[in-house]
Amino acid sequence: MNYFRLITSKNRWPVRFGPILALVLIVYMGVGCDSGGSSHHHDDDRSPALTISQPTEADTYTTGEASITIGGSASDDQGIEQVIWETDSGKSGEATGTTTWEAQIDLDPGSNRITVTAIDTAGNKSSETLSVTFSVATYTLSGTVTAASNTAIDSDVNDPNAPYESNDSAEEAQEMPTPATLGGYLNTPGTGAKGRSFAAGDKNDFFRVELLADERIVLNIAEPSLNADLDMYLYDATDLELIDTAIDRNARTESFEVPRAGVYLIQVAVYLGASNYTLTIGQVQSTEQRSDLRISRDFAPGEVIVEFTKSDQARANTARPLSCLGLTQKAGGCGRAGLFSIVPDADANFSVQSQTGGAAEPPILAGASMGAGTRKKLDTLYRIKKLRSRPDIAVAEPNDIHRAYKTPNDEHYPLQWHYSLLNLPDAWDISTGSKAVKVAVIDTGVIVNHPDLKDKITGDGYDFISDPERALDGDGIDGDPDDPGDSTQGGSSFHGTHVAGTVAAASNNKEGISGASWHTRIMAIRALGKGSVGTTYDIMQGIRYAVGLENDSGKTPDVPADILNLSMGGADFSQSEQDVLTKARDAGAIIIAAAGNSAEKAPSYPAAYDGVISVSAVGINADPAPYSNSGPSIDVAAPGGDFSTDLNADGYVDGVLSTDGDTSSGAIQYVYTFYQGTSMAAPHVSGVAALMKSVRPGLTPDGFDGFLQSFKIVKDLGASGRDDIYGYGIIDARKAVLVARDGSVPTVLNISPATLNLGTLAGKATLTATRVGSEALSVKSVSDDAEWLKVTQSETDERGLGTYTVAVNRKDLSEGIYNATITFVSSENTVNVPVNLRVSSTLLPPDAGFHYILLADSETDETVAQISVEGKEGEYEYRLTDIEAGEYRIYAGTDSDNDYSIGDPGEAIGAYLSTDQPKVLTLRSDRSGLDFVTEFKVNIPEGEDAGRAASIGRKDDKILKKRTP
Amino acid sequence: MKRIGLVCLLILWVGLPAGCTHADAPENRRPLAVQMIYKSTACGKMVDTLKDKPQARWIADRTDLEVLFNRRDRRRIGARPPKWVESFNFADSGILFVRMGQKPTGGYHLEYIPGSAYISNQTAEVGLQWVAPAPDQMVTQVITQPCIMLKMPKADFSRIHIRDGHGELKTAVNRDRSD
Repeated sequence: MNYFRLITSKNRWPVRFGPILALVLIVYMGVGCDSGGSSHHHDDDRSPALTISQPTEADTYTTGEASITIGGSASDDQGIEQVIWETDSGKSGEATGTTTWEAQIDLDPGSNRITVTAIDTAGNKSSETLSVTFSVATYTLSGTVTAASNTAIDSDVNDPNAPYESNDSAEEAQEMPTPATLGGYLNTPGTGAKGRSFAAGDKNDFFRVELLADERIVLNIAEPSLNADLDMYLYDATDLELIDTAIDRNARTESFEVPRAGVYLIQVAVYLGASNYTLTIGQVQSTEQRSDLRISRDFAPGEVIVEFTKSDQARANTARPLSCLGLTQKAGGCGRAGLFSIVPDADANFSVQSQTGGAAEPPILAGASMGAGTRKKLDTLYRIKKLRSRPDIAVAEPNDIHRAYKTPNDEHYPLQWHYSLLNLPDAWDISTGSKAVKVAVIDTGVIVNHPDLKDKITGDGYDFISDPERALDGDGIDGDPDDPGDSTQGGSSFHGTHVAGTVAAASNNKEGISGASWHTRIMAIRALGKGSVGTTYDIMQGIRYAVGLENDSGKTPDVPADILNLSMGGADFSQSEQDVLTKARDAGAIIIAAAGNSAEKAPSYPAAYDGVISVSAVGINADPAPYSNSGPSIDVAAPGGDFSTDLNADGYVDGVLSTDGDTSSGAIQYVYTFYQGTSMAAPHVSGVAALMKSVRPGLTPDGFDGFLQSFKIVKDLGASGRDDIYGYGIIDARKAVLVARDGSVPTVLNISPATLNLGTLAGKATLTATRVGSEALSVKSVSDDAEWLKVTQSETDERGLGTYTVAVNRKDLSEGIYNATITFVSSENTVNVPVNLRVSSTLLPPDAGFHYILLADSETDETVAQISVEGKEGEYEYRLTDIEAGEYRIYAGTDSDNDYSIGDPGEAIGAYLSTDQPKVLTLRSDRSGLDFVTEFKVNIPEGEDAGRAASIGRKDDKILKKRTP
Repeated sequence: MKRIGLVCLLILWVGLPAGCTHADAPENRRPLAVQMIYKSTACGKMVDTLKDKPQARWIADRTDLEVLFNRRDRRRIGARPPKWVESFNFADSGILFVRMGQKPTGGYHLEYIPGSAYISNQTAEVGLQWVAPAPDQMVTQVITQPCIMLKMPKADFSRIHIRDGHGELKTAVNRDRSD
């Protein structure tokens, strides 16, 4: 058989070959199908269906989130194998699910292009693209930082961004308000952080300030160490006299007090290194002790007590090392402190200087004036400062002069023998008196501008001389107790001035004389005029006024006098005068009067009135003065002086030395004069009574009499017991103050403190009412006389004893000094508590310096944003923009030392909401009104916390500024 | 005759003094220009005594004057002599210093009676008010030493009488010596 003939036509070859061909085709197609090629021979090449529906069906999407979840659906007849995604930044991944798929993708900031591809089981693909924009939301923070009142800033700090004005010399002295807290910075050349003053140094800051007597100035040094040491010098601004120094070595604080009211220059000087500092004036600070190295300290100039360290003892005991230190030994031996003299020696100075650093000489003003003694003291202190820097010296101290008793440093005190006679120096060891005690000197008036009196005279004195011709001041009764003198033809005497000085001249102020009670105040009442004479009527009006009784002036003092001094006499007995004095005593006044100078036994009035303490006079040996009256009316004796002797051979008559005036050349000269008389004796007793009152404010006239009549406050002289010459004896100030403080007295109400000085800041105070004595006593009423004052019971018992709260509302008070009285009335006595406060609008607006406002991440403490602000009128308005949502803290402060951290000790610091509790701020929207206070923290912590920005609860020690490129 | 002689003697005895007083008659008085230049109640130790009787001194040169003020300043610190002390012209003037004497209280002082000074019979008469407080007047209980200094020309008088307002002679001093 022929198969090929099967396929051709005419022949029937297809019939023969057909089955074979079919078989081949089937095999071929099967192989071809098995080869898998897509390009051919599939039955389904359609792409899968794909949709993106989450988060949007749109092609674009914007989010503020850092990641996004996309999702959608995919389908295909063949089935979906997988869904994958890819971003234009190269991220990729596989979605979960297939027909319904989902993927979570982290976004890059800005635009993100996401491509999703679905692949079916046949390998077909389909893609969709979604553009996602990741946009971060930002917010704005704003508020005002307010400088605390009474802040000030050194005008030439190291921060180059801060405003600059040199205060490096007396001529450039920066005006400083008071009270004030000032932040500053000093450095020697090449020390401290880089900044404005790094290269040339900022060695001195000078400040000019008006101060009151006894006001304290405190320098807090931020970084005291061997490498940083700051000192202070005080000058009288008028004549540049050096008043005092505070030049301790390595002290954290330096301080001194000003001796009298006036305008001063304060020099803060750097001895070594660089440091921030704060300077406080007139602020209340706790427990600062005055600096060790002060020229106001009483020590022997040119001498120093030195003790070498143990290892250096042997070496120290040779002449050569001592000469290198400029010392020669005066006393002492091996292994212990010795007394050395400082020998002025250039080579020695170099030796000491080279080993201790710091300027060779004290950096005082070139034109400063001082006496030779002061200069020697300054040089001694400066040498001691340098010796203290040496590692081989354990101790270097001034050789203090210790006096047996407290001795005032008034220039002419050595001539006042009459105080020692009364044991006043002993008494001063216990008390030097109190400003709360007021003595009315009813006399010729007082020279109100006398340098040794002007700060002691109250503002409520009065002139009761009703006859203008006798008054010599052009009018009758007036509010001016200034003594114009008692003569129109020159040669006036100023009796009242002398008496007032004995009672309470400004004491321990290095000039003039001392008074019996250093801190007592004088109410000057003028009642004796021309020729030193006066009328009973005028004197009675003066007495009435002084104790707060109705009188011809129509006025009464806010606080009546505690003690009346009447150094006068001559009139006969007057019942009306007795009545006035009885009322004055009933009002609580202790009344002291001169016994008279007629050397008679006859009574002299007012001394002889009932209820008045009559004082006779003694001389320097406590012998009766030849002129002094005697008799049954004499109660006590005191020094009156005796010109007939100079038994202490001081070249002066043995009179009583006190303040006076001299008009013999026309204009008044302020002098000091010896007088004699019972006029001089009486104010000694008044001064002692004032000391007694200062330690026992509740002392009554009866109490004083009781002490006197029981011989507890006198030295019994003459015949034993009471006699007609000395009375109960010569007054003994020490016994008087002790028994007043500790002795049993009739039961009285006592209020503590006796006076309230609320300063410029205090809004509240506490008074404590107690019973003194053993008898029952109750408080009947408590009242005050000022609208800005309110007294309420705090914790009291059923008798009203306990604590009372005194609240002050300064809100509507304008600038000035305010006085008020709180009156406690008990079943036994009445106690008046004077209250005073000062409302001070500083001459300069508060200025805490150039500020940086920092925003810190609450978790990492990293500063994420900052701006700098120069304050206006003490306010720093800030606005931080483009801040991402998050949690933060806000800080504000200065960077005076330019170390790129704010709020270091000595720098201003503030935090929202407060530095004590910095608040975490959660930011999800714009915030405004984020206000807080910035201030200089004065109480720099000790130890580990030293150097830490005060009390802000941060993990790190510093709040760091961002460094600008 | 004896009677007449006695009468004449009597007349002479009475008349002569009258004739003497005629020498001090007002028409024989020559006014003396006097000026108060200093007064004080605290003249203290300006003279050597603290007695309470009045005293006077004629100061003819600057040394004497400075001694007075130096003594005054022994009881006074910070005082300076009056400025006029340096410039006082002793060539033609002198100073009459009068102290009242120690007094037990304030209220005493001396005042020159204007126009009261004159020269008569080689004696300068000077009137001073001797002021004292009234007996019942309130006065300061301080011992005082009132004094006064008067500038007087160096005229032809050799003695000075100091009288009070009643004409009573209180004290006197010779011009050519101190007492």
